[in-house]
Amino acid sequence: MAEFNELIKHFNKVRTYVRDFYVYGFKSRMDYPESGRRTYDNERRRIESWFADYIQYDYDSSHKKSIAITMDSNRIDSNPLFHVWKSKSFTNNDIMLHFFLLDLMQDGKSRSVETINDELQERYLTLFEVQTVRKKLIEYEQNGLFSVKKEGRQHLYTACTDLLTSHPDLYHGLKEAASYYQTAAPFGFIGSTILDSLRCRNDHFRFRHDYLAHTLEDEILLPLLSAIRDKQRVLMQIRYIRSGNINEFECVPLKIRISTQTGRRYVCVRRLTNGRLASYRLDSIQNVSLLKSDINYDRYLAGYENNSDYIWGVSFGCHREPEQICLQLSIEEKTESYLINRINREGRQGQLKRIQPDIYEYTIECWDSAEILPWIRTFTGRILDFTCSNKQVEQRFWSDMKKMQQMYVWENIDTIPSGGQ
Amino acid sequence: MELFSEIYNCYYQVVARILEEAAHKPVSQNEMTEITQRYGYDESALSIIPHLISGDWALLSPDDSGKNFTSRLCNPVRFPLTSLQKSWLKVLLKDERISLFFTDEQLELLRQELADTSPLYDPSAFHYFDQFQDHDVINASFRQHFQLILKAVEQHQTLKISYYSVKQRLIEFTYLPCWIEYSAKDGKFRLYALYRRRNGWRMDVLHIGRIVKIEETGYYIKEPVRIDKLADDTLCQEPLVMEISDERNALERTMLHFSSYQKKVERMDETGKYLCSIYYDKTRETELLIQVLAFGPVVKVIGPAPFLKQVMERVNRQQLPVRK
Repeated sequence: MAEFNELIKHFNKVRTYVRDFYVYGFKSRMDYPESGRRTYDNERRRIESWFADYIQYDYDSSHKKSIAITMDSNRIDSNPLFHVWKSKSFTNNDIMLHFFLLDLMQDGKSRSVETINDELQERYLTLFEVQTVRKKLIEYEQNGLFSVKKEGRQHLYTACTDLLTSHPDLYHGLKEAASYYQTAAPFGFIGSTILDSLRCRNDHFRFRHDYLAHTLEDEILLPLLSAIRDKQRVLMQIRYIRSGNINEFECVPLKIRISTQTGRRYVCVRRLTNGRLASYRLDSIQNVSLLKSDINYDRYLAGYENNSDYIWGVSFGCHREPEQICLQLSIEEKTESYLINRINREGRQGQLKRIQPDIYEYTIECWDSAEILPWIRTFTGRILDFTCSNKQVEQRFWSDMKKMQQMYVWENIDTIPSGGQ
Repeated sequence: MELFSEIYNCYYQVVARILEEAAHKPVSQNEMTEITQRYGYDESALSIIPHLISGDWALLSPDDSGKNFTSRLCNPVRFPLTSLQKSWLKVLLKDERISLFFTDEQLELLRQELADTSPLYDPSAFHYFDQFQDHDVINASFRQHFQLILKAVEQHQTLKISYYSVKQRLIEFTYLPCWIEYSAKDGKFRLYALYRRRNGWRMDVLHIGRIVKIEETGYYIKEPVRIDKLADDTLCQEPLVMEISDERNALERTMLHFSSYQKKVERMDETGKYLCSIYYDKTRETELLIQVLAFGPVVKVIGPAPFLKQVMERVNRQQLPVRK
């Protein structure tokens, strides 16, 4: 039986498990019928080990054990899910060469592979094959740790000057910037590795509305950004969240749209089969392969920009004309001016108009009016009227309101709680 | 550029800590285990220690007794920045908020040092479509206030702060800054700071953008303050409990939406619904209430009673037009 190992070779292997354990937190082994029992047990054990401080166990009504990764993201100094990025497996030679080479080359001298190998044996009493050392030097040159120059027939390697060794006064600013941007910027785990390199941790920043699971999509995000920068097509493999079906198609990625309120990130693409704009959640993308450049890229991007004023979230709808929404709200001007501020800052491209004292009208045109319904529901209790050119959406809104009244008012007419804070 | 690389491995960090310790004095197996437990994962010691002691990772030399070990390295362990880390930093140089962490000279120096580095990505590829429009504006005064606060947090120095309250009243008070909170949703920085009352410290939250003036007091707090305990005072006594149906993909949407909270979810086999308990900060109850209402009838609040009462009041107040 293979020995249990905390480390993994491929990031994708655990992505689904970590996401499920963190986002859902109620799934048990029975929810992974496609995984063998041992595979599930190994992944679970790994996750228990990586996130020991955040693991919560429970048993459901059928006595099945479930495991959850749970924490209040406002009360932690770093995203624990970054641990997955710091779990790549390695060989004995990898770890020894890492420390020996960085130690040996600290003097800044240039050396050939053969000289390095001899010195490794002499200084650290460890014998490596020249090929192994050469491979590691090439890898570290690609990683920016060493530089290489050719002298005659030899390649000479030198350690690159370390930023902080030459400018130690940058340490403090770098520490604070990495502490902040490890959460505030994409690819935050890189900031976390900088903190590791500096041997420090974030002790001055906390974050609100921080969706930690984003980090699990970064391996998908990077090739998409590379394609956007180089105006390339990609082959994208999607796993539809509801059906579980997998689909693969070519498209041109144009923009990454991020919701700071719902925890979702999307890529907007132009599909090549039907020429339509579409958005896909990054967590539904299984794989991205870069293809050739697209000469029409700028035209596609301009098409996206022209449409973007009419996107509330990420949907481009399915009609040729944008849909119109009109919302009337009751707002007591003397005491509730904060609501007017709220609509102005949250209402995106919509317009707010005072139509009479204490009554305001918010209007907006967008491709898919269904997307705006969650925001409109946040004004429950003060909605005087809601109309939409898409009558299905209008009907759904009022039908939902009726259901909520059934749920909260009619069913509880005799049991309205009297508690208060 | 490879994102998933062993260079950033947690084991390398643990081994570096052990090597640092072993460079100063011989370390025992117990000391190695302690370091591993502090910086590694839960089961890392089971792998790291045997590899180091057996010589599979020949980074340590045993002493004559074979029980203590010294480092074979000749220099202090260093982790120079990699191309990936530099290319990430290069992107940050395009962000206006980077000026909060450096002086102009330091920023210029960083720009020079990273001149040959390509940015990891182009920030204009991102669009944060639902971020509030009144986010903080980073100007000279904001920058100065921010840097003074960071310095005071580091040094435990109290600051005399004048700022406009939510009700636009100019208030001046002496605070001990504790930490800075950032919200991507509204793009605002807030200062969590303590002020002294007769019976002890109290926590206050100040929006940094509303600060008018900060003066250093030169007074440093040496006594330990249990900041976490003060922050815990605002945690709810009872969690919000909601029943979630799986209509319209509601389970997926709610779970992701509320993933930033500490929560517990149970599947109710008999109804096919889910019971979700959320532990929240009472000072942000209204925000949570709004989030819950946004989901409409696919989420039903079960308790606690005061929270449920607020939902019921709002829903009850909502008129259904006759024509609908």
